[in-house]
Amino acid sequence: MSIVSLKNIQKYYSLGKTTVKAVRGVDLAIKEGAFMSIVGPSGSGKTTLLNMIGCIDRPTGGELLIDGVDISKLNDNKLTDLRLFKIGFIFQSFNLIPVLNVMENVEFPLLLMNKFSKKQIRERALHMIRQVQIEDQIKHKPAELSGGQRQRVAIARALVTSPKIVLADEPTANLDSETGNSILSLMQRLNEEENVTFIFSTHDPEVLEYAKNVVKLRDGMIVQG
Amino acid sequence: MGLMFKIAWRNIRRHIGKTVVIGSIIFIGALIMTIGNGIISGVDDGFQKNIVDSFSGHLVLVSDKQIEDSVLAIMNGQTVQPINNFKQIKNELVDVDIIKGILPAGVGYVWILNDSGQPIDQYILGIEFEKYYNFFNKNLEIVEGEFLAGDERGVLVDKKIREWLYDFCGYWVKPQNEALNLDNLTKDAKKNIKNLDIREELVFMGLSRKNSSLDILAEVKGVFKFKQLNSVLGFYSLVDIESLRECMGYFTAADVKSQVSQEEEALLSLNDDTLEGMFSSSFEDVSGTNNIVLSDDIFKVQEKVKEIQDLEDGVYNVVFVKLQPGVGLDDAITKIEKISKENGLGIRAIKWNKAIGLMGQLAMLMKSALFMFVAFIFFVAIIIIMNTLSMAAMERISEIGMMRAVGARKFLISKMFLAETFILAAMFGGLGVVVGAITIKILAGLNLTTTNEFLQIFYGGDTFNPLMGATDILLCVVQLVAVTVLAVIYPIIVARRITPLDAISRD
Repeated sequence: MSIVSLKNIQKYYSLGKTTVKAVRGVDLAIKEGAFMSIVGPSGSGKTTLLNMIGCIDRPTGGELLIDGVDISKLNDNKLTDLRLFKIGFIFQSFNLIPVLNVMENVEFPLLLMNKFSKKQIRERALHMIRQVQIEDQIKHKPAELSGGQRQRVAIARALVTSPKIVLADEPTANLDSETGNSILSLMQRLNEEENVTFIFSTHDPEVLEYAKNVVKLRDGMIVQG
Repeated sequence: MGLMFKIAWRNIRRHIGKTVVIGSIIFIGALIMTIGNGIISGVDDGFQKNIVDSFSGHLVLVSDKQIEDSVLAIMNGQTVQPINNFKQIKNELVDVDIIKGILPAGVGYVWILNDSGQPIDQYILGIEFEKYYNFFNKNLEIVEGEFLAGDERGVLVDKKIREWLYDFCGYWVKPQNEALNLDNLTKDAKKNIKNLDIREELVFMGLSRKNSSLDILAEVKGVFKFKQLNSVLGFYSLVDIESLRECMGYFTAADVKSQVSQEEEALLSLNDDTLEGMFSSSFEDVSGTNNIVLSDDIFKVQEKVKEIQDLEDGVYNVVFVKLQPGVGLDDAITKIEKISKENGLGIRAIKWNKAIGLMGQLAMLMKSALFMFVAFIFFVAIIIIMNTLSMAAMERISEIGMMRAVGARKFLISKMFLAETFILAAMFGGLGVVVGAITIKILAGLNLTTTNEFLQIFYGGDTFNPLMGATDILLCVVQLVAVTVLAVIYPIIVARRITPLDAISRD
């Protein structure tokens, strides 16, 4: 069964009198446990497609199902809950909460879920922090961490809720190659161990080596995949 | 909620510059609002103690034929419509639960006749002195002589009026059978001590509604002053009620009793001639002679009547009403006027601030101006805080957008902003309220006094006495909360509109 299903997905933006067609009729089915890369040049629609799959943007047309749920029928709160319970995000620029330390940042989505005790939250967060190997920086604030460490925290936060899908928008773009590789290895390991579906965008050929499936985009359309 | 407070508190500490700016605005706003509230509260308390409790009561009842409201300070010199049925009014109102007490009085606009020049116009208040003194919380202070005792007749002249009479008429009034008190003389009077024209009696000519001229000669029994606000309230001389009735041409209690005696042909054994003589002689115009003409017969009759007369049978002009604590003036007016209508009392009720005329309006105007000033500060604080918080929200698009992306609902973002603003308000606003309350205590302790009439009205008394009680502090806190809530609404709307996409677009 597909965890993500896109049928004739379109996304158009209005820029004054001009309409920018960012995604033009994409059909895609992503199976659970996939480790998929979306590639393409800048402006090809990678980020837009990821945003729609991550329910932070709505398609202009077409049908998008996440774990069998048609997102076009969900209101803002339902979409937010869908993101919280089923999707994890890893952003290009890490996007951690600056005033919270590593542990608190990882705990944040668990607190939002409002279904675990304090002890459970602490244990789950600690487990993920160990998984990404930053337990030595547990009390550090984001500003006190390197780029790689921040991205590890972002991965821990994305995975701590045991989401079905993790979306990563160019997760290694701001990292040196060594750190980038270690991050990708980590994602790959978690994909294999936790059976989490990873969908990440990149235009780095080295990153592609890690992907099990590759979807190539150009001008808002799939050209290979 | 704990997480939200943690994030809010750390954000406050992180953006220390913004915190100081917003905090300072909240502090200054809270400080000014607290001081303003303290002054308003002091003015209110001053009005309550020095005017409502000591001069006018909460309401003043008048005849429903009375058109003007400013019955205690009529500017055009018209007399107040008479009330002929006080006993009936008393019977209907005395047990009404909202009423603490009532006191009737006569109000007269008179000329003080002057053999050496133009007459001087003046208000007189006809009262039963002891009842008046007690009803108004012993509001008077004797300067010279004695207060009127029991049914004693005569006039008590206000200290301010005495000085005014000296300035305009050239004579100095002192109580009968009292030595001249040199300490109380004005500078001019002291200079003129050798030729000082001293008077112990005043001739009042009542200006009734029909412009008929009726004179009385009143012996000066004392010189007094109001304990507070004398320069504002001291435009009345106090006379016994019967003298006022005679002066204004009203039925006196003695007249009423005499009529009863005629009807019943008993009690006083007064013959027609004697009665006729009494009515004609007691109201004789004596302006030309400066002497009151009272025949021995009339004295005899009056003395007899006095023994059994009931002063409340005579005519009054106003009835002062004090209400039980917490009773609203509008509610009381509605209730009293309903009772009047149902029982044919023929009265209406006037609020104290309207009854005392221009002074009351000025007092209300000053209070309103102060209130407007506080409201303005309130408004300015809201605008500045709102603007600064909105900018803060826009600067945190990445953080808020990311929170929304990982699953924070809009409500949570609202709570975070509310928490931040409330922490700031509690810290800086609380400090402002505390400093404001201390300032009020210090100001009250300075015991600032004034003789300026406008300032006295502004102070609500002779002394500037701002107040800061528990209720006032509560009011400040409520205002602070209101400012906070109103100031944070728009920034919350701005923050709630931030989407994860905004955060990504910004990156």
